[in-house]
Amino acid sequence: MLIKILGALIIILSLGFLGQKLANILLQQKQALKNAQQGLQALATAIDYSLVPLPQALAEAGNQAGGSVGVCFYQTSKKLTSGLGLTAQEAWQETLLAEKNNLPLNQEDWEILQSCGVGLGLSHREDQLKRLALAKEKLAKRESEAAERSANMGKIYKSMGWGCGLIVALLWF
Amino acid sequence: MKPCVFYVKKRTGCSKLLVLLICIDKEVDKVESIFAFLLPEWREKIEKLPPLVLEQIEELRFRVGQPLLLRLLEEDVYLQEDGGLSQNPAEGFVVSPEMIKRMVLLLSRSSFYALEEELRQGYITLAGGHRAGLAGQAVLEGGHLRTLKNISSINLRLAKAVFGAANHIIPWVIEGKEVLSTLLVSPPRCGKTTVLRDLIRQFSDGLAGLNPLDVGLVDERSEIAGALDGQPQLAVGHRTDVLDGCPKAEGMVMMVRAMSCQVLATDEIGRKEDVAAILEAINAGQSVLATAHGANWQQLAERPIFQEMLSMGSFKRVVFLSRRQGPGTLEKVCDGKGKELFTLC
Repeated sequence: MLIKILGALIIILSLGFLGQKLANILLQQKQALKNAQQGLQALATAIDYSLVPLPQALAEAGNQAGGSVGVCFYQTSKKLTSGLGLTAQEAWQETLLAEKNNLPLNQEDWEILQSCGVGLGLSHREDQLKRLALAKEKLAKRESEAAERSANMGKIYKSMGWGCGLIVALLWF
Repeated sequence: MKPCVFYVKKRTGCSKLLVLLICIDKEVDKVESIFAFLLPEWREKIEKLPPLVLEQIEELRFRVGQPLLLRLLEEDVYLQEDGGLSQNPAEGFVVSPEMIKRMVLLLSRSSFYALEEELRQGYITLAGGHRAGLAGQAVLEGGHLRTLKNISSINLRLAKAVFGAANHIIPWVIEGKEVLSTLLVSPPRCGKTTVLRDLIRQFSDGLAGLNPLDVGLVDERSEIAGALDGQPQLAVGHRTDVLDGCPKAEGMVMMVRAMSCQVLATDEIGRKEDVAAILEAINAGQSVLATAHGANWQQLAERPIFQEMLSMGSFKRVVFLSRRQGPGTLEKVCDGKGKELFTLC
């Protein structure tokens, strides 16, 4: 009997935490999209007001963004100052590819983020700001979708996790 | 650092060349400092060139659809696909538009947007004091040049601070304890700026019979001190104040008023307001060192902006340079009225 109770508890906890985990993934995606926008905003500010060189601007953006997205800004900055002869686009896209598994983003989000590197640093200020604003807008849209998904699906995942755990445990008895 | 010493030793088998070898080594290091601005495919070819060629490089010229040109001390050569050198342009390694685009990103540290002012001047100053001249499509705003786009040519010019480049000129520009106001005149690529830089350094650090002086340097084109983010990259002496990127006329007035320097230096005077500012400084008792384009006194005197200055004898010395015996050859020294004090045979 004791074994059955223990088994049932394990089932409830496992399925409950699985639901929690799935809900957290949605939350992390939303947070990463928000961080990416903060990073892009910081980048735009550095370009617009202080005209700082891109490696420095990216490091500042990494600081502002934080999380795994912030790491991408940092890594790109490092690559640009390493003397490897990489352009900003190459450095950004290489970094995103290397960090793909660490980013809580789906393919579509990742592609938007990757497209931010196209023409990065290559044109005059107004053009750079337009490109960044466009990418930020796309990310904002993705973030609101993710927020909605997280609000709806997150609750469902959590409830389903604990609920399924209870049902399976009861059926077992 | 390249194993240049071994290379030359092997060729000559002579250990007495140690001083020469150290000099070559330093020159090779200077060339290596521009590798960071080259695309990997060019870098690997150029860094394999013999040190004796590397140390002679003065300019690297990249033009869309044209072969990559290396301008050496005495000749021009084209870099080949296999890394060799040729004097035949048809055998040269052709530069593509994509390569130029990538190189602009490297030169601008991927920050093209931050260089509008530099692009308006047509060049970018790089770490190490080197500079990249650019040509492409001009973007105008209100009839004035705003920036450049679609860059099609890059001229990567190596900065070389040659210590002692002004040694042969110094006796002509000092009288007792006084530095005479001097105008260095030569056609392009004859070493005016290098000589001026060394004069500044020597006056600033002091030399036999002359205590160190406070030198104010107005470096409008960042060519003398090679300043990057306001910091001089080339040796201009420990008592030199550098006003970087500032128009000469305004800068000279600022330097005289704010820094109370003993010697004022600037490069390539060519506008009315530059001349007016120089005259004001000289009349205020300041020693001025400046450069101008020209080949001889007559040519200089025919230029309207110099007429007043020369007729007044504002400069105490006018020094003419050429490349006849290498860059910085002292061709002629005149006093302020055009009387020849020295002429190279």
